[in-house]
Amino acid sequence: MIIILLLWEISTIAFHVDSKVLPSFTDILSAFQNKFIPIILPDLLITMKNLVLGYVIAVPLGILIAAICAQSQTLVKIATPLIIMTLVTPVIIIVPILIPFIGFDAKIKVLVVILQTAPIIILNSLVGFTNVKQEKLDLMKSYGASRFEIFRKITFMDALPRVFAGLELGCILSTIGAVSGDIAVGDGGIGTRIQMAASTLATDTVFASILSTCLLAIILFQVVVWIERNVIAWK
Amino acid sequence: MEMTKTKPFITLEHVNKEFVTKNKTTRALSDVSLEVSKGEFLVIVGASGCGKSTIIRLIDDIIKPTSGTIQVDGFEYDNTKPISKDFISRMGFVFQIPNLYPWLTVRENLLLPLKLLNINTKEHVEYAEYLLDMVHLQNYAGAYPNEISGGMAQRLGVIRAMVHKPEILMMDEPYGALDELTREQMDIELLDLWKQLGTTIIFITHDVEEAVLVGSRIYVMKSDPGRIVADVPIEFGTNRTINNKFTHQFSVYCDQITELIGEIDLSKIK
Repeated sequence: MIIILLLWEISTIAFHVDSKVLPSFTDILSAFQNKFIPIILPDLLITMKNLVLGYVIAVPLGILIAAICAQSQTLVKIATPLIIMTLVTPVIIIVPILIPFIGFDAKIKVLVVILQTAPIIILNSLVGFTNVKQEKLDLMKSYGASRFEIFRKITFMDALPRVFAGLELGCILSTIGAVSGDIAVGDGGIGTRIQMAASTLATDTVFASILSTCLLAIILFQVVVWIERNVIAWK
Repeated sequence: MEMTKTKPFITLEHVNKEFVTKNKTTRALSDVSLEVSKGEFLVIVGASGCGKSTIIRLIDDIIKPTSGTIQVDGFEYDNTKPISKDFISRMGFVFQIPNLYPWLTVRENLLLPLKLLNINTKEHVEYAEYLLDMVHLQNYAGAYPNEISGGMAQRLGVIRAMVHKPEILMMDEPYGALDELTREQMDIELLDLWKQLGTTIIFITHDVEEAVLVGSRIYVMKSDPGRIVADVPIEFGTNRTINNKFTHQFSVYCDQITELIGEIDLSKIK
């Protein structure tokens, strides 16, 4: 990492690269330092609000949908290709379809985050819910446990590591979703800032904004990892 | 010696079980009828895939038969709906693997059956502590399953099946994963428990020596389709020790049963 950054720094200076094309790394750092609080942070906060709201809705929604699908093998077979379809479709291209219904509202950005995040949570949870060892379920049956009891006490607990894998990937995807939402809808947010800066060739601001977004994603990711470590104490 | 015929405690009559998968139907059990008396230590022995485990899974209501009747203590199972919790609480099941839940501690795993069966008397909780002590797990009560050894885990699996004081204990090759020395020791421990508690035990194994060591009667099974081919009483009485193994009678029994199991068609074992 350090070597790459060094090479970047040296090559931009050595080859006299125009800072509008590729600023040197120190340029980006100074842009980050100078523009973070006055320019980047207000936009980042708008994006973060949509991101967190969308993520917090997508998590229970995704787990719930997975839990429902896991109840029948036919449902799993129907749901899996649909989930993969939504995963590979860039949500940003759905936005124009949604705008007539919802309008240019912050709600649409939250929706984009949910659409981008929920499928990966569903997919991972579903794999967890449908791969519990038969003996673990048989033991519960041997005590006459009900289907719901078995799901709540065994299937869900057994799938937790898998569910958390989905939640962690969801962090990354929800950041992508939030930024794409800004770009597609406009109306503020770090995505809009990046777009504007790019069109005015303020390349250092573009990079500094991207850097800020990455840091945000890393922090969110670490928060989820920390929660996982505390919830899955038996590992 | 004159024996009065007591009414059997557990009865299976003409039980068939088929497992239907995508491509084919497997006949796990074909016309199996058997009887177990109260307090008996019954062993079912046979090669892999002969349907031994299926029998106890049927009795414990984990699966339902394709046809035939199952009766326990005069109560006939309904083949379409699960039996009541009250009734099922009279049975315990030990799996081939310890089958512990990794997110529960040793003590929580042990107490799980009580929780599921809504039993919360002081007597049962004390009994749980007694069992922990008996299998030397008292010091590990707060540990998670991945922090204890394989032998400890298996012992926990056994006492968990006993914690609600079942009248019938079904054991599916419970010590199959342990080394021979540990297994013999556990077998003897189990015999002691059986003598103390008078539990009816149905014990599944593929090991002929283990079968003769613990069983008061042995059903021999063959596969394809799974069926019972012989019913061999083992006349060693209840006071068994490891020394039984070194008697002439022991090897006679072993030879007899090995012969009954017959040649195993390896191509048919999945």
